[in-house]
Amino acid sequence: MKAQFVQLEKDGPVKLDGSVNKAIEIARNRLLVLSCFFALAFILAGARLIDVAVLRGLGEPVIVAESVESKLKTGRANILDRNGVILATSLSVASLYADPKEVIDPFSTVQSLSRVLDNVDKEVLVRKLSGRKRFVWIRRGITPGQQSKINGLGLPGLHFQKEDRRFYPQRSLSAHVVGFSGTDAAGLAGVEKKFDGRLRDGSDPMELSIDIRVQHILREEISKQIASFNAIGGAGVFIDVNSGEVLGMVSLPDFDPNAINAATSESRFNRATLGVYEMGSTFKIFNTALALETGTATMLSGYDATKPIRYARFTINDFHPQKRWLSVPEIFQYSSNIGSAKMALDFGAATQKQFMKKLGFLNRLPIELPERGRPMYPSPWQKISAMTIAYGHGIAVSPMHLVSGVAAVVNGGVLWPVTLLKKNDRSSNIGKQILSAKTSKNMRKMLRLVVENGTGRNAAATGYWVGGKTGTADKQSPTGAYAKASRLSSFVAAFPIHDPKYAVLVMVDEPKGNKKSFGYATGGWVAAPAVRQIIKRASPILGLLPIDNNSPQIQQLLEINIPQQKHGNRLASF
Amino acid sequence: MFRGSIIVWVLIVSLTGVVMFLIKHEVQVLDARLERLHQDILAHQESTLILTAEWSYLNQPARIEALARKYVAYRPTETNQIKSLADFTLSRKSELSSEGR
Repeated sequence: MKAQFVQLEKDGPVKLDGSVNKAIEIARNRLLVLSCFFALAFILAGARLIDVAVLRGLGEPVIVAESVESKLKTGRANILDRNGVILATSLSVASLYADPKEVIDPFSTVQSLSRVLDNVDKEVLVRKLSGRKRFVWIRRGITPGQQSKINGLGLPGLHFQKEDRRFYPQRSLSAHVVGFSGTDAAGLAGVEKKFDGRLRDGSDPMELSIDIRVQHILREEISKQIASFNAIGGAGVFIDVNSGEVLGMVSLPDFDPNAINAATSESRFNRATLGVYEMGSTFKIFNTALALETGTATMLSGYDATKPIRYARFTINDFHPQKRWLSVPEIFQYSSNIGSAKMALDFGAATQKQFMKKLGFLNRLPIELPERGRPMYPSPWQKISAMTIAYGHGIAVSPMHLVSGVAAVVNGGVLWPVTLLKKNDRSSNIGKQILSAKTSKNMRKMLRLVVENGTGRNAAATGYWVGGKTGTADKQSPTGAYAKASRLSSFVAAFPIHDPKYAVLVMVDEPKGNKKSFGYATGGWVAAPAVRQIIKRASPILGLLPIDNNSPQIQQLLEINIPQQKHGNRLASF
Repeated sequence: MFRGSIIVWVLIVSLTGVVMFLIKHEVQVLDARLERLHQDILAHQESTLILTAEWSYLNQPARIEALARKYVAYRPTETNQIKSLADFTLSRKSELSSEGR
């Protein structure tokens, strides 16, 4: 190149020399532009480097954000009682399956398996393992212990698959509240069904208002009465009268939700909320309250209960006939049907219907369960209906209806919607005033009178000031006739009655009298003793201190004047 | 001078390479450990879940009651066994007043 250059310089014209210079000049300029461009690029890259490495370095997070999900995903959220005890949880369990093609000796495999698993049908299993299918279930949902033992056997052809399974640790104790869910994790009854969507996608556990200890006491005491009176079933409800929270709800017979296929339809039936019954004399609570509220009767007035009432083809009789004039408190105390019917005639059928509607007795309960029975009531609501509804016949409501109504009567007249969910905020004002505080106070006095000196003496739990009312209803046979032998015996109570905190209902279905009860199978003999035991056992758990039975302050609060027809006689009864 | 700076640069570059390799290796080890820890956490959470379910199962009130009857001498508190402080001060007072008389 250089040689050519020289040559050109030597014999080429000046003109040529200039064009070479020009070419060099252009090349130089291009080189300069290019190097400027690169220098700029390097400066930019360097600036960025300093920016990232030095300046940004200070703002760099010390711990890198975790990208891995470290939260365990389970099929459904847990259900807890009010104290955090697990009522329902989802566990991932191993299920054992086999690939028959890989199984070498079906017979010895089954022999070894039957030593680990119980209830193995050997013949069926051998046939399954000798088959041509590539997949057969051997046992679904085995325990971790069984799984490790089977692994230890080292049998070829056996495999495990993880499956989500719903588990109810409290077994039948929570059956009718929690309900159950199917194998595909869909809620099929109870809270499991009602809140299916929320349980499916939420991982936050659901807190119920149930207290499992109270629930246990309720179940045990009612079971005892069912056994000793040879009854077909029973129900019990325990609620907080000042918030409507249900602390206990049982329906017997019940079932184990872990083995739902073994449950009979009878045991799955929820008598506490789905069953509607003519509750009998416990309805006198509402009848008397309404009479006092409307002013058609007072604590000092009364009715003649000498003779049975004959109306159309009906005769209304008393179970504990006094055959004399009875004051309002006495009608309640002796549970007089005659007096109650006459009381109802004074305020009339329309007023009664309106009050029943206010109490929520004509509609399904607002409770969070799919199993809610629709009450049955007469239509049209005639005079005779009013007379029988006065003492709890001719209208059928669920036991839960009754307790929520009683809670409203004793707590100062506020009807709270019953709920199975724990209320963390007790200030929410969703209660409805349906009775005056004065009527409520008088009702509390009369409820105490029944336990102190009336049909409910067996419910007196010393120190806890129980007030309540018995109920014994004749059950209607499918043909519509009332059968004397099949009854519904119940007792509803509130305590401590001078300042009620809780209400309890015990109902026993078709009890038969026994020797201890002298052949009686009435609410006072069957249900009242259970209520006494429940209150006695549950109160210490709930933090209620017993109060001296002779406390003068409380006796004064509950003092009642029982008027006589001619000369008013002041009688103190507590 | 020029050669010296070249050597320095080559040294720096190879040093950076080695350091980078070491750090990368360390990160990989930590990553693997992190993943293992996450798996462990999940496994522990699952066992915790099973254990809490078992705890609830073992704490069924009926079971506790049966065990208590069998092994413990204590019985449920009777109502007359519960007394408030006020009861004691009252009885003490009446005792004192009767002594004074």
